Amino acid sequence: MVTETLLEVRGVTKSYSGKVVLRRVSFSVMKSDFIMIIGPSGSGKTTLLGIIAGLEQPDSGDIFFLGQKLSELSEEKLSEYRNRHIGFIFQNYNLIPFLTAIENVSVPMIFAGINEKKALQRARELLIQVGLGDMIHNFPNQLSGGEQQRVAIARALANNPEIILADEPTANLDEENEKIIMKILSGIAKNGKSIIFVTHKSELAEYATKVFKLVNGRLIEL
Amino acid sequence: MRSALWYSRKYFIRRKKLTLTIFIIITIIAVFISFESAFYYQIEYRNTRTTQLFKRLIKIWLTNPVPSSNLSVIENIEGVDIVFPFMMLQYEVRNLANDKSLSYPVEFVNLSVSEFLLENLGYSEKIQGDLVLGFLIAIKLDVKPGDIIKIGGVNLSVSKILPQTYSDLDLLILADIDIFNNYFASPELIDKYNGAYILIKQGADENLIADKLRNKLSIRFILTPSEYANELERVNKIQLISSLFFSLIAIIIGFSVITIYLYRDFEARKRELAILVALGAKRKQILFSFTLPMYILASLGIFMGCVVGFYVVIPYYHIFVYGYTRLFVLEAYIKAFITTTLLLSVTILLVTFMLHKRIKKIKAMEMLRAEI
Repeated sequence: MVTETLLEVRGVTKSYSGKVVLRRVSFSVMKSDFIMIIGPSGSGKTTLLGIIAGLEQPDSGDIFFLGQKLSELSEEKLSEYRNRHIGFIFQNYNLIPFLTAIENVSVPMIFAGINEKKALQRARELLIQVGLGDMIHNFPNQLSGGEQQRVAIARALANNPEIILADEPTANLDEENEKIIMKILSGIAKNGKSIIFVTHKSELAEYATKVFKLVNGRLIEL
Repeated sequence: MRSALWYSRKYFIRRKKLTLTIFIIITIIAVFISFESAFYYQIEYRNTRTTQLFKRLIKIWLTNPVPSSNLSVIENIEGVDIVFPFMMLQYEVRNLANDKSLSYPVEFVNLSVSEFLLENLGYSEKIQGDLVLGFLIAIKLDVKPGDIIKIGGVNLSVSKILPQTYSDLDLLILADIDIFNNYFASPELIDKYNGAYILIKQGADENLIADKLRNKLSIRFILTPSEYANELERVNKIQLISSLFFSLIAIIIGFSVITIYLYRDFEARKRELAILVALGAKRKQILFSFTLPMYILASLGIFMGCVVGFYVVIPYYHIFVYGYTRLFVLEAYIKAFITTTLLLSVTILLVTFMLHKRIKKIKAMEMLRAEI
């Protein structure tokens, strides 16, 4: 079976104030891949996600999404790419504090031009999927860390993107919530989404289909 | 735009304190500017009308009262059309019904002069009776036609209140010259005059006439159409500078307060803006989401500020300073509203522009990265 390459990272190098954090990093992402990149703090994991999302520019190398070079896209097209094709999950959840759970999930859809009624309907379905059907009108400060992260996952899925970028999403969670989140993400990958998950916890590797380690800026497949 | 509206609506609803504060600040600034500029435009309009009133009019005050025969020389000057000699004296004028009073010059004159003066401003009125009051004098004394007012020691019935002309005509008290001769004049002042309204012919040389008047009569003070226009222009300039000065102070204070507030809000919401960038919101959408509440608040604040400025502050200012209330001409309100809107819009656009530059500088990943 031939699987189409969704995303290709080709020879990406990035340095900050003379320090090289990524050295000719290359890998490909296929449909349903659960890619885990393990590395210690400051190893360049988040920088790599930022480059994949088009939020940062590499010093050299390129990112290709469905064959399209990101460096050739305008700022507006890059925003569209993030909005339609990428879902973000962060360590600190990064929910918008004055919006309820359902409104937080609706944000990417609203900014994609979907009308409010449809957006809220889909947001409700997604929150039910992540087990928060009875908390849709709660504000972030009324939710636990695990619940906030599940809202963030629902938000990442809002526009049905091909790729989910997860930056240490379980780092702030206890073991129980970590398991819940990892199971949800595994389920998402099995349903056809690709996940790039960066973490410092090597024990999470069991959930991944491909595991890489980031050492001195180099990506090594395990 | 729809997304920005949705987002700012949510922000509005849930940040009531900030929203209310910005609204109040903008309203207060708008009150200041609308008040100042309405005054300026009202004075400008009044001066334009007064210039129009004096278009063909020379007014002279003599050093000493003279018999009417002495003034016949005026009629012989080339370019003079009609002469209305007057006797002007200061009296205490009191409304007997409400005891309101003022010390004011009363001009005893042939009352048909008021028909000519009104005609200069485009009115056509027949004047009958002995006592005619300008519109503002009537408001100050709170009188209506038929009321009895006491001038000096004499009770007189108000025959007519002139229409509001927004010119200096609104500030005149005119009484028939026969009243003066019969009731007010001491024996040596009977049939004497200390000034005159001189209507000049269309196209007549006012300077030439003024020179001849100075040569033939002992004149204390003379006002020609161009002197009057120059004087009013000077008053306008002073008023404009004063209005601009106070408006500028209001703008500087308001601009500083709004900027500080917005920057504090911006700093507090930097992370939120970074989240929106990461979620794929376009910079334009983010800027609109951030500034739309400001525009809506500004529009409401400007409107509210003008309403309060025009219909609360100006009338109460008049009551406080002059003891009576009145509204300005509509033209002054419209111009003041436009000025307030323009000045505040420029200020707010400037703040928006500064914020836009800051939003552009947001590095989303730096703000959202994991803290491990």
